[in-house]
Amino acid sequence: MLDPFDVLKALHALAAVDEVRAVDIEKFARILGAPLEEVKEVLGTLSKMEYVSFSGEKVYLTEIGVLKISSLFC
Amino acid sequence: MAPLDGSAEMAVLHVVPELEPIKRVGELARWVRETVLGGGGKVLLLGYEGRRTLDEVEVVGGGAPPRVPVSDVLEEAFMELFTTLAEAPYRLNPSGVELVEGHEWRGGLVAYVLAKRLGVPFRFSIYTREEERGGWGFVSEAVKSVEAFLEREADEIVERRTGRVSKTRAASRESRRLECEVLHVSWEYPPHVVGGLGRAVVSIVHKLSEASRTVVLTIGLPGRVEDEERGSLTVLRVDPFTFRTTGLVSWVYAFNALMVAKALSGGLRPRLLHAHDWLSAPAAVALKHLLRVPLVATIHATEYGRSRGSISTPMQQQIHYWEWRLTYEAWKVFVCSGSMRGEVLAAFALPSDKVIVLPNGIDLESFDKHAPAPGERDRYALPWEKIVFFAGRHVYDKGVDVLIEAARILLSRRGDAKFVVAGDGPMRMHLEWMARSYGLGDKVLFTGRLPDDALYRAMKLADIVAVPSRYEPFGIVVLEAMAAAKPVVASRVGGLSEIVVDGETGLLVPPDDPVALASAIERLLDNPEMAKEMGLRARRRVEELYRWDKIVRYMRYVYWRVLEEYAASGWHTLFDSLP
Repeated sequence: MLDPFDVLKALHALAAVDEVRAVDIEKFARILGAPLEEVKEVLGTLSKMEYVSFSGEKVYLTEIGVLKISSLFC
Repeated sequence: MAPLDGSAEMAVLHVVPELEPIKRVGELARWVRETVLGGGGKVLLLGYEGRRTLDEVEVVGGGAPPRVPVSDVLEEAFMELFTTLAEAPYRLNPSGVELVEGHEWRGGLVAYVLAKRLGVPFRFSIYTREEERGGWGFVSEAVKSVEAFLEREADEIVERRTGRVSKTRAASRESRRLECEVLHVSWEYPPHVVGGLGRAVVSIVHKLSEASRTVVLTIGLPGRVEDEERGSLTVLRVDPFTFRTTGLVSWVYAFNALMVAKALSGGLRPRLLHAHDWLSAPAAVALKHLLRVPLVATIHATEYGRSRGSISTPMQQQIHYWEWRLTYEAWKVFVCSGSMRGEVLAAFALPSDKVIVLPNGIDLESFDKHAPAPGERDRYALPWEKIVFFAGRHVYDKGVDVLIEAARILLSRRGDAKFVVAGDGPMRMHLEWMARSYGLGDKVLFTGRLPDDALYRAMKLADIVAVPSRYEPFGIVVLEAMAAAKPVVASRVGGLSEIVVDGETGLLVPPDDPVALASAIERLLDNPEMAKEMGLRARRRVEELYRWDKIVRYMRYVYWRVLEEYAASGWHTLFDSLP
């Protein structure tokens, strides 16, 4: 089972932080090496928590999501 | 400066990751040799400690990176970059260099930054693109993004296998120069503020800029990366998502590299550098040597402390390395509490006289401006509920789980308390699950991250502020509670036990002890007069000891002493002749 926090970290590493830099969800699942449906499910949960947003078939971290990752470090 | 036309007459400094026969990792070593030898110029070989002449070409080593385990090639390349930037001023004579050429992305990264320091054009030589190698995954994505960045930034691109030259442009260089007293290098500054570090830096640079020109070099957030100028304070921001990376450590390295490039291209010439934590250490150490300016550091927290002395993973080892390196390179090291002083001395084996305790402070004038609006309390609690307030990152060190346990204990005895938990972090989902599973869904409110003004107003509405940390170098939230004249229940750890006077301005309890925490909170709930008195005494204490103007005045005195020592040091580098 995918850890939602790992999904956030992966979007962060891919610099998917706005609509322009959003990543295609299918490609994202391939890079993660995880089943597409599972990735979509986790992204849905993260979206409800306002950590990610969608732009068509693409996904990116919101500002709250970026700050959540930064909070690991201080 | 001669225009770029690919001619061999220009004195070129080649920055190469491999060179046959000295350093061979793959086929690139031979191709590079065919390209750079016999063409004149100099060669800077990355990751090489020596110096020698090959076919009449001088080959200078960029220095061996530290023996710290890395997780992937991107982290390795950045380690190589920062090593070279700190070593080049002692190994490389820049006189006569008219162009810096970076070979492949690893050489390109170093060449891109060095060209900015030397004030000459940057040429990017490509042999094989990552796209052609057919790689995939995080490393491959990262390398592609670095290549794309270097192609965008290069004055000229040469496809070495075909000889194709593109994007030749007149290499005019602006000779900007931004002189300032102190350059603060910090990964936290608005809008990117995560914890106490960012808030401390804001207060420090604002106070400093009242007396002298001050610059902050920092990162922005997506869509908010513009530079800023306010009176004597300049804020320079980089976009930390310029590159794709492989994880959090390489992300930190990436924005540090961009910070160095930004400082150099902006012609920054500070008299002194002040870096905050390992997250800005690679940039600060590189700039110290590239510009030959003294460095001071503030260590706000350490990996050693966070991990209770257990440094094992490559990520932890790299963080620990950069913390040590920063304190080693710094003339003086500020820490925020006596307990942090002990921790830093133990973790990095520093001489005692190098480490100075200087607490964090609070800007009371600004804090006092934020008054709660009528009815704002209703957002957090019912009229008969007393508010126990927590603010902080939802990470293990902050002990939010201990507070939820304490809430369960306390609320099993009485129903007049409401726990308001502000902040966010990796543990948030777990904590919300904890509260729900204890049946406390309506008694524990998770507000998420609050902006400073909302946070200050919420704190003023609280009856008690709880700080149940397991590890806390200082605890700015306690100063805020004291400024709001609120009694604090805090763990007896780190800086908390120095700021809170037990029984006078609040109550101290053992860390990781929900029973003791619940009892202390209950004691204050049962004795509102005592709680009020403690709050008032706390306010007086913060007014006496923790004002930023006093703290920054002492910081300036330390700067002055460091500059005196620097002036007498006789320190020089091969880059001193550069403007």
